[in-house]
Amino acid sequence: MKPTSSDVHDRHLSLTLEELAGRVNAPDRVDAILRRLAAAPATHRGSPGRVRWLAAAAMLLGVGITVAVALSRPHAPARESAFAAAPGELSPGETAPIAVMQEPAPKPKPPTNQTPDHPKGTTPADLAAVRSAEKMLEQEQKLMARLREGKLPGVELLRFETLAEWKYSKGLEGMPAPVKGLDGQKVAMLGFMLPIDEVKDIRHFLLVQSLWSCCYGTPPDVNGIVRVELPRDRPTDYSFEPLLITGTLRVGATVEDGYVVDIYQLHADSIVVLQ
Amino acid sequence: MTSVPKAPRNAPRESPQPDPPAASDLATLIRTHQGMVWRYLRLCGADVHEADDLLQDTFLAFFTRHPQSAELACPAAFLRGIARHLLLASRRRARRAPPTADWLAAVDQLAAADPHAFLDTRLPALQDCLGRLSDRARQALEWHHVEGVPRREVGARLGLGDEGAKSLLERTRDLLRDCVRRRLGLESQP
Repeated sequence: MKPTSSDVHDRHLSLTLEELAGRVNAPDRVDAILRRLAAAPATHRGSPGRVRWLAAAAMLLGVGITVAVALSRPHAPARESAFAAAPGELSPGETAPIAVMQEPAPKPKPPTNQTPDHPKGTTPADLAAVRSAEKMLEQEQKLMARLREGKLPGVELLRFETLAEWKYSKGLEGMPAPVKGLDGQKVAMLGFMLPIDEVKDIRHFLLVQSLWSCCYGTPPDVNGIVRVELPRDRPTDYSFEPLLITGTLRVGATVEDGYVVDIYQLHADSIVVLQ
Repeated sequence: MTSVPKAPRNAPRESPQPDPPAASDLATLIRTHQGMVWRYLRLCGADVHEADDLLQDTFLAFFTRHPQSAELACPAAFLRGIARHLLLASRRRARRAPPTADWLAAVDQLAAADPHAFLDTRLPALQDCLGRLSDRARQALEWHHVEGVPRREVGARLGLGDEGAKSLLERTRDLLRDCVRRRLGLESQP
């Protein structure tokens, strides 16, 4: 449920009263921070803005090259074999178990956050997010190739761009006919999980195109979010990795407390974690 | 109208990188804002220890990436932005559910509407306003908001139904909020 301003004010009051009652106190960390700051590498402190811009540009270039290579080699045999290792999940009409299936893990990469391709200061979390996004693009190409080859009849890869290409307005006015026509269709979607309430035994969650767009940039509009519904008896757990979900798409506004909370619902038949 | 004298062409150019701030400036900045950052993190969903760790990381990121940042006029919003980013990154690394975007948006809305929301100055104002409440209202508030007693139980202890307890708590919160805002000069005195 969407939190209200009142929920936040209540929580704020609780925390302030706890502090006032002496149950917790805001820590004094001046000395600790200054000590850690003194021990920090000098390169970080004095790094000129120009170097940082160049490093950021190099990273963007790297991502661009990766995407370009992925787009130009849709039939790469290595990717195909990796995907073929999890057959059957996309067969239309099949009621596959919802338990999360893991794709075979690729060769482990060295756990470093200071490679020549990335700017200094890039955290492991930043790198993990970049790799996840790259992985999702790669998987999307792979899935498209399989669809083109007719290996997955009756299944359509549905992209977020298709769902969000129109400007949302009340009453779903302006929704293009092809998008309306997706109601009841069997589709496959790639995206990231955004839990709503729980992190274990999840029965429904939001699927978003990118965790960056949801959490660090502009949040997607309601037509850039898909609520995924799992069968009640087959919940799943939270996963940070990109997901490939197949199921039946429903198009229609869900209204809670007078607010439209979603307009696309994907009733999942299977979920594959793309590792 | 006075004209600004132009620097001679061969004059040395001003250094693009100002000198790093002195340790005393850093200490002052940390001392001024650490409580605010910690409370912001707590409201975003961090527990006490997580907020403590991220508080330090926030200032480290602030200083190491922006050496001239101590000279920024209004670092509070910038610090909250870093803290929020670090909390999300930390949750991702730990594979724990991050706070929802809606919750974070509501917290930021609170911060924008009330500049004292996370400041130390709020505590004495709240303390003073609590003293002006009736014993019954103050007790209800402490039970529910500090001790986590469910509203129905609060009502039972005070001889009220659930709706009565709800109404009492709502009225008390409104009184308290108005009182605190007056104390902090956010609203004119009645």
